[in-house]
Amino acid sequence: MKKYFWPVIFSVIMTIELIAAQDFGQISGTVKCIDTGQTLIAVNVYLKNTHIGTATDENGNYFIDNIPPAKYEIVVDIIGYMKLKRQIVEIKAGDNINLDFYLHSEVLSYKENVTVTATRGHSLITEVPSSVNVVDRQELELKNPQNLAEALQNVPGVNIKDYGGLGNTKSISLRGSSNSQVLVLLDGQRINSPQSGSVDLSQISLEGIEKIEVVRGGNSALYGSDAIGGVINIISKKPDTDEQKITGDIKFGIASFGTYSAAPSIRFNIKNTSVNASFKHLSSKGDFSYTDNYGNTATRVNSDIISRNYYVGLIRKFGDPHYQRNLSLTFKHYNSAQGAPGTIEPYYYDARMWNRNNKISAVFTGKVFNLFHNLRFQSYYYDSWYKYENDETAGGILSKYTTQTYGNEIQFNSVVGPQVSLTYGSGFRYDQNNDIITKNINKQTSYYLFAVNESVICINSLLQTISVVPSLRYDTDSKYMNHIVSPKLGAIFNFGEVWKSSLKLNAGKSYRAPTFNDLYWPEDAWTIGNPDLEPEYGTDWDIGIRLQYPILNGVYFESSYFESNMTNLIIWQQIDKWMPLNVDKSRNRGIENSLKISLIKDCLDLSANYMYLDTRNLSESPTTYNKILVYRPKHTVNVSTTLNLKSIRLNYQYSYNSRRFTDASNTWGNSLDPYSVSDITVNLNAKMMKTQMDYSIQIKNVFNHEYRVMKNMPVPGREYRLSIKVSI
Amino acid sequence: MKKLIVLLLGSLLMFTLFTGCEDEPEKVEAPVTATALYVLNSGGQSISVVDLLDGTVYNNVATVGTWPNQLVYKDGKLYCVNTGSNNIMIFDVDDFAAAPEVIDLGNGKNPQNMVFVDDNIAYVSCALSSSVLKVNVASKTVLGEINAGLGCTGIAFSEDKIYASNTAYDAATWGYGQGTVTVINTTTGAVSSTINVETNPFSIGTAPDGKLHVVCTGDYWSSWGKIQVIDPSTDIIVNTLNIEGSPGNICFSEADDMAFLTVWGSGCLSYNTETLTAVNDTSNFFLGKGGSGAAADGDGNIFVSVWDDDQVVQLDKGGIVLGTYNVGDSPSSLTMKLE
Repeated sequence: MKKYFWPVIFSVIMTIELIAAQDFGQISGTVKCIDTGQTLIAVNVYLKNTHIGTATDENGNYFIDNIPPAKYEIVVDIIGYMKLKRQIVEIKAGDNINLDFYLHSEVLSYKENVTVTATRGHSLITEVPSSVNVVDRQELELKNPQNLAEALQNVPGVNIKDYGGLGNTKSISLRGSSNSQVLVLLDGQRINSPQSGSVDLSQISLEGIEKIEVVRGGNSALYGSDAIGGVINIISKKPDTDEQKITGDIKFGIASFGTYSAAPSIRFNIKNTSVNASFKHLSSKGDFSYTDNYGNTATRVNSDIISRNYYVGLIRKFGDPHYQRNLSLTFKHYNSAQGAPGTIEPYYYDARMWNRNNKISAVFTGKVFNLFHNLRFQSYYYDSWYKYENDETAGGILSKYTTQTYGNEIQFNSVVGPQVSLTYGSGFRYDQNNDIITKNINKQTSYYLFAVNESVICINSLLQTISVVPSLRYDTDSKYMNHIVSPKLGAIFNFGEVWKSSLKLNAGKSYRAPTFNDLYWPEDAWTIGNPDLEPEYGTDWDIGIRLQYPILNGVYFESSYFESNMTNLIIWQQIDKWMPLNVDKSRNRGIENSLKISLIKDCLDLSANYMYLDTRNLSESPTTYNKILVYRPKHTVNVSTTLNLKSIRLNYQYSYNSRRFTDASNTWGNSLDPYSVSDITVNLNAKMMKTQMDYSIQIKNVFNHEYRVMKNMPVPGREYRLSIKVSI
Repeated sequence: MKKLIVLLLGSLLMFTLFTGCEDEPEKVEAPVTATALYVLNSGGQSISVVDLLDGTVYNNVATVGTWPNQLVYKDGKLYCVNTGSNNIMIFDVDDFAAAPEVIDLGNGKNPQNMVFVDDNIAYVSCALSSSVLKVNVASKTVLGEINAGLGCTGIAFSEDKIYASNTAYDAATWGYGQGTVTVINTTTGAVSSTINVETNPFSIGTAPDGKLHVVCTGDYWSSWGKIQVIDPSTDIIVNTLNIEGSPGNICFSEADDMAFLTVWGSGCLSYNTETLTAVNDTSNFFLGKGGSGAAADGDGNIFVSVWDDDQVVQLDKGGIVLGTYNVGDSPSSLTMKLE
């Protein structure tokens, strides 16, 4: 298989290259504001569904050459102005067409974010079939989250399982999936533990993160295993190559429960290389009071944590603007030492946990052969070290293990027609897990091929289009030598330009491979792994609408019905010993609604989302059949409103989660009461000389509501946070 | 504008509908029964009640603590030993709706099983602290703690003495050390002797004749089940039966001079307590499934919990199925209220 791989890839590229080798045309012109007549600089002018484009210069002029003969849709786009799409322009060999554009001031004030996760290319989230949300740097700075779990807790379709205080585990569910059915990526590469399959979001700091993309719904067709509920892609901050001087900032934070943090960062350029480095130290005593299961007030002790995050990012640019190539390097280090109190029944007063991990990634991007082929090549290396010590169980527990992961991925994005692009590539990955105590070593090498096509079909006019996005991925690995093909088809029907409505549809198959724990759990008196396990499979589909209307200052509404049927679910059961088996079936379905509206332009924004979730256990057991899966609320509501007053920004956030069952038979007495939480954040910016001061005052759980997200895992009550960031 | 109004109204309607559809609690009437089988549903962390007169099952009448291990009925009260919660919950069987009383045993105990010595005093075996706690269930206080052996699990009472079996499980090596039974004089509260037994004495029971039957489970892979009988008058082992398999808990059917041993996933092994001869061995398991708990009444009926099927099966001593009760999630320990 391997010996044919590169020749096949090379042949495909060369074929596309030959097809694309033709005579070219040109387009040029000026972009102006229709209201003032002024020329507009730095306006993006590009041919839709191609990589061909440029930006206007200081005189508002643009010039695009090397355009192969074909019909194109031209898009002119700048923040603050309404996006304008010109009608089809037909370019012939040797043509030099002059086109001037006049833009209206923006009516829609909500942001149209770009996603690189939904299609593995750069697409506007409002134009892809998948349901996508982006938490960008601006939102992160506004809401000041301490970790990834806090950053994602108000995203539609998301349920965070919060096991308690700052250092306690936090996991994620998308559309009712389990936490190991959510694929978490760092710059496009999975960071789910090969041992357990899940990711602890409390250990992912937001230092050096540019944005987080959440793609809901099955996505194994693009990303392979674990993407049954969806994909979360954490995108590292890229140093700003236009920055010509040294800049830096330091952020100090103090919060309730004895929490302190300090985070300096620095940015500078050396010739064509830009560097961004940051560090964060966090320490928290973590003790908080709670009411135990019998109505007594108690203190949650052994919740302390000390953690340190290091981030260094470099980017170097090569070549001229048309053929620019970038090489970026990212290094992240995290270490922590913390208490591990577990549940309150039993309570571990002295159990401790230590974590260390490193993540190194190198990404090369650039056009190859000609303007129509983009190459992205990534190499990465991750390692982690973990230790857990608990003398408060029978016989005690000492657990120590390390993991190593490395891999390469190559991806091409090729324009194969005026409205057609193809993204394809392949990769390999090696995972190793060492149990230091038992000396047990597990290894796995995986290979994959993927392809995704984006085609736009025009109906009647450019104002009515259908985008079809089929994707396919093949996975195999040394673990169980299964050959898994994951298909997906997405389609979106767009009509209207100013009053833009979309109907979107997705259907696909996804899977979750068994973890090292599932396959190779060492045999002891009671448990044993099962090397014959099959992957879990999910078949999902969704249908929804997306409306973008210029009412008030712009309204964005999205609603989707989704359904996912899962088979072969891996459950640990006692036969002779406890062992994992492919036994369960489940069905998740629900409705997601999200609304964004600007009530007062550039001043008062409102966003809200609501998810109705119906997750059912379809296994054979008479007491659990058709029961609601544990920890899945039927109703989740999030509301966020932001008031911008010059240098002050005020954000109020409300979230509601309905009742959750904690056992498979849905015993009411074991269920967790519904809860609602309100957070308020006030950000104040001030500038003195060349120093920028950013103050943030935050009250989490304003009404001091006592609640539990997980059984026997109390969460802290009202929390005050104050931070000051000084930028020079 | 019309589109927006329709849209907003639709959203509001949908939101109202869904939020208005919050589930109501499932109310289970607490039954008052003359005779009953009480079932501990480990998965559901709840209690089911089977009215043995009419066969009606009342599921999830009450919820219990973390890692519930044993259910004991005595004088109108139901006692649940919660290993993870380190407590004993006390339920009034005539009023399950009432909040249970709780005896806090203290952190780091891991209580496993309890046995009554009189109306108010009980002894509790604790695996993590390797000790036996003396508890007053009326005042809900711990009166004392007596050191036993490593991994103290089983407990029984005979002739004013407490017999606590110690598995000697070593988590570091996943192996078992020398199994022992600690004998405690309830009058003095002191350990009177320690008896070496076979591997992994997981449970212990008092036969109708007062002798102690120690169930030595074995290590699950190289050594197998043995029953060792201790005479309480001398505190020495007087007999051993190689029953094989990996038996767990024990119950006695006085009417038939039989003892039944639970074997997870396989049902029960059984033997005659008078002759100490196997009746059902590993070649002909009693029931052939389940085995997460067992109880016997005075009329020769045996009740066996079937974890996977969420059922309790009633059989006669010959293994004829007399009834099947659909109980809560993952039933384990059983106890009975008899007329």
